Amino acid sequence: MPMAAHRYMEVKQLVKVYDTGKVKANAVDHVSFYVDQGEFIGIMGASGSGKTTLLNILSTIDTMSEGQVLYDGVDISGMNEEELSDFRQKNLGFVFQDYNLLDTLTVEENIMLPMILNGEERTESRIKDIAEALHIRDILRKFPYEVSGGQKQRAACARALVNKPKLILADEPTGALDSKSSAVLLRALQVMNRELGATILMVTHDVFSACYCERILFLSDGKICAELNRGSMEKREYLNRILDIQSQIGGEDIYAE
Amino acid sequence: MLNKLALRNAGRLWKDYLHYFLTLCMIAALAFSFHSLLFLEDIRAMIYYGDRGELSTAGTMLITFMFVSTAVIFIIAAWLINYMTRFILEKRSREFAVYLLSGMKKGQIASLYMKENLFLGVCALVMGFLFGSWLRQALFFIFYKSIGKNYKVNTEISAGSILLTAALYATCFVAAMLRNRSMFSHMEIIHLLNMDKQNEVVNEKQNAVWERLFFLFIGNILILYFLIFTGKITKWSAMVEMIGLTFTFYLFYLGLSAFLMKYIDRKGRFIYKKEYLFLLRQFSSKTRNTCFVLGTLSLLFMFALVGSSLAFMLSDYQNKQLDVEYPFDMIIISDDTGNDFSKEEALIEDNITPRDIWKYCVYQNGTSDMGDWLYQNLRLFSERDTDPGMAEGKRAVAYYDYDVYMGVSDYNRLREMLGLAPATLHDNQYCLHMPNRVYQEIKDKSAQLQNSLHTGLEFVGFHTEGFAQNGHNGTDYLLVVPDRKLAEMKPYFSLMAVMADGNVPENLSEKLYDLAGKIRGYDELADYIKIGSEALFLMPATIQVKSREVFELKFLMSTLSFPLFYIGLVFLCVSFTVLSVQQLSDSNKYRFRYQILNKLGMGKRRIKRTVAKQLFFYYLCPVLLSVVISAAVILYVGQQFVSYTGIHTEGISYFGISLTGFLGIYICYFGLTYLQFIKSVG
Repeated sequence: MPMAAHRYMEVKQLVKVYDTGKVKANAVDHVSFYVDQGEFIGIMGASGSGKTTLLNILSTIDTMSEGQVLYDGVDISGMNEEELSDFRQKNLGFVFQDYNLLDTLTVEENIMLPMILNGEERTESRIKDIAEALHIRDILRKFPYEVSGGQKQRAACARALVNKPKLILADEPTGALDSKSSAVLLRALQVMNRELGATILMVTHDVFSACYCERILFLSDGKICAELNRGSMEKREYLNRILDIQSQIGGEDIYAE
Repeated sequence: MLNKLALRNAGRLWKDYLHYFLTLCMIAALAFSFHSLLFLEDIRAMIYYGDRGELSTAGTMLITFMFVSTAVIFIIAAWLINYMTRFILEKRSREFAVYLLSGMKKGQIASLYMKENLFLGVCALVMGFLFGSWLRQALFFIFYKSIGKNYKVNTEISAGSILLTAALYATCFVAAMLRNRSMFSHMEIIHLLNMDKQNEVVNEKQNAVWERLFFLFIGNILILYFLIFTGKITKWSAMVEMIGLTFTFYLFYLGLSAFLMKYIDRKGRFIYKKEYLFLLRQFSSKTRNTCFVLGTLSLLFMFALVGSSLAFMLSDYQNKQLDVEYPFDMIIISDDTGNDFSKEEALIEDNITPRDIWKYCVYQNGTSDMGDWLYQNLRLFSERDTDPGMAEGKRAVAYYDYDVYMGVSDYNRLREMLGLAPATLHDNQYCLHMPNRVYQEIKDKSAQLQNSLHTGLEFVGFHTEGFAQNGHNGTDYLLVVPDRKLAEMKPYFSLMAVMADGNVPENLSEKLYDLAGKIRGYDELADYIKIGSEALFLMPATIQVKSREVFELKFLMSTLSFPLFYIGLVFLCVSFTVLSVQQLSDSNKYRFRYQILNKLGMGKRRIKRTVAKQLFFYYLCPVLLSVVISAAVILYVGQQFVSYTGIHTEGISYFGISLTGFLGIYICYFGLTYLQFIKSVG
C-alpha cells in the first residue's frame, strides 16, 4: 500500500436534507471523515442508509444542505456548475453499477473520451497500458454490446483511471456482475490502487467487495456508525469483523425501534 | 373506461409529440385552404364559361394540378401518419406490455391505440379547420393578387372543401391504424418489453463497399454539375444521371456513415477535437440505421426546393414579363392589307376611351433571309428534322413565309405610344427590333447575321423593348427600314394598335372576336399568325386585348405555382417533423449519454453546445444533399427558363429565394427541437 501521507479529501459535518414540504428527512446526517491519497476506502451500508446520496455529493453531481467537502483543502460547496464540471473532469473518475459506457463508442473510444474532453490528443500508449493492466486489451475495438458485463465494468474502470484522477469514486461496481466477474473486477480495482497509485472510494453493500478495501466506514440512517481498518488482518478475519459490525448495526436498528 | 383512458393518453400524446400534432394541424389547414379555392363561387365563375358552364383551359389545369398536388400531399401525409403511429407504438411498447400483463386483449389494446390516434387526429383536424379558415383568407388574397384581381374578404365556407379534406384525412388515419392493428396481433409481451431497451447497434458490415460507393455518389453529383456548366447535358446523360441520383439519395447515407466509421477507426485528427468523437460516432450510427428515412427526407426536401423555385420562376415571369409581352392595350392584325379596322374602332370606342390609336402596315419583299437564319441558329429549333420537307414544315409553323419590315415613321409612332424614345435612321441604314431573349441568344453572332441579310442598307443596331412581336410586329424580329425603302415592297399585314385611358374590360376581347366571326383560342390554331420561338406560355392571338391575355396567363401560372408552393410547404413540414420527432425520441431514450458526459466533467453549457451540434449535423445532412442536388436541377431549369423567356434574372436566384424561405422554416423547427431536447435531457 502506498504511504498514506497526503490528506486528499475531508468531509466535515455533511448534511443532506430532503424536504418535501410535509416531511423532512436527513439522508446524510452530520457525516465527517477523510480520505488519504493512495487509499482504497469503502463505505458500507444497507439500502436507504444514505451511501449513494453521500457519493453523489462527493462526486459533485448533487448538492449538500450543510457542511463542507474539501478536496486538497479547497471547499467545493462554493463552486458554480461550470467550475464543478471542470473540477470533475480534472480530479475525479467514476465507476458505476450499470457501467455507463456509451453504446455508440468502442471500448477504446469510451476509455479515451475523458482524455479527449480534457483536450489531450496522444492517448494510445496510456490506453494500451491501462488496458493491459486490466486485461481488456483484446476487446478494445469492440462495442459495449459485444462484450461481457465484467469486461464492460473493467472498461469503465479503465475510463475512470485514464485521466489520472486524484480520486476514483465507485458506486456498487459489482452490483450487476456474477461472482466470478466480481472477483476479477475487484482484483482490477486493487491493481489500480496498488500498482497504478489510484485513490479509490467505493460504496457497496456487498461484504465480499468491501473486504478489498483497506478501511471501511459503516453508514446507517445517514450517519457513520463505525469504522474498520484492515491493518494487518488476514482476509478471513477482516471478513468476519465486517460481518460482525454489519450485524451490530442491523441489531441496533432493530433494538432502536 | 377504455374511452376515458384513450382520451387521457391522447392528451399526453399531443404534448409528447407536439411537432407531429402541429404538422397534422398544418396539413389539415393547408389542405382545407387549397380545397376551398376549388369550391369558391368567384373562382368557379372564372373557370367555367358559356351557358352550359364549360370548363376553361385554365380551369382544367387548376383542377388537374390541385388534384395531383392533393394526391401527392395525402400520400406523404399517409406516410407520415403511418411512420409516426409505428414510431409511437415502439416508444410506448413497455406500456402496452403492462396492459397485456394486466389481462387486456391484444384487440382491446389495438382499439385503445386506434382511439387515441383518432382523438389526436380529430383534434388536429378541427384545429386545422380553425387555422385554415384564417389561412385561406391569406391564400385567397395572394391568389387574387397574383391574377391581378381585388379580393374582398369572403367568409363563405363550403361543405365540399370540409368534406373533401376530412375524407382524405380520415383515409390516411384509418389506413395507418389498420396497419398497426395487424402489427399488434403479431406482438408478444416479451417483444414489447424489450422493444424500447434495444440500444443503437453500430452496424459495420460491408463498410468498405459503402465507403467506395460514397465516393462514387459524390462523383455522380460532380458530373451532374460538370454537365450543366459545360452545357453537355443530353437526353441520355440526363437519364443516366437521374438513375444515379435516385441511388445517391437512398444509398448516400450508408456511404457517408461508412466513410465516417472508417475515419474514426483510422483515428483521424478530428476525433481528438472537443466532443467530436462522441458526435461523429453518434451521427454515423444514426445515419446508418435511418438511411432509408434520411433518403426519403432528402427527396422530399429536394421536391420542396425545386417546386418552390419553379413557383418563384413563374411568379417572376408573371411580374416582369407580361408587360413586355403585351405592351399595347390592344393590337389587332389582319391579312387583309386593305382592312381599315373601322368596325373594330367603333366597337372599341363604344366600350373604352382610347388614348391613342394607330393603324399601319408591315411589309415584305419576297425574301426570308432573317427567318431562315433564326430557324437555323436558335436553340429552340436545334432539333430540326433531318428530312428537308419536314424541316420546311416546322419552319413554316414558326415564322412567316417572308421577313417582316416596318417603316421608321410607323415604328417611331408606335414607340411614342409606348413612351419610348424615337429611333434615328439615315436613308441608308436599318435596325432590328427583337425580344430580349432572342437578342441574348444571337448577339454574339451579330456579324454572321448581317452577312446573311441582303438589305442593301447599313446595320445600326438592335432594339429589345417589348413590342408585341408574337406575330404582330413581326415574329421574333422586325426589320426597321427608312420609309423610302417601303416603295420597293408589298404590304404584308395591316394592324391597329390601341392605348386606352383607364381599364379595358376583359370581355372586349370576346366582343372583338364575335365581330370578326372567330372563336377565341380555337380558330387561331389554324390561322395565319405565327409566334416563333415564344412557345413557352403564349398562344397565337390575332386580336390581343392585354387585360384578357394577362388575366388568363396569370391565372394559368397561378394554377401552376400555387400547387407547387403547397407541395413544397407540406413536404418541408413533414420532413422536419420526422427529423424532430426522431431526435426528441432519442433525447428521451439516450438521456443517459448526456448524463455520462456530465459525470465525465462536461459542463451543462458544453452539453448544450454538443446537443446543438448534434442536431445541426442531423438536420443539416439531408438538407445539404438535397440543396446540392436541387441547386443543380434549378440551375439547369433556370438557364432554360431565362433563355426561353428572356427574363433578366439569374436562374439560381429563384433557388436562393426558395432556400431563404426554407431556412426560415428550418430555423423554427431546429429551435423548437433544440429547446425540447435540452429540456428532455435535463
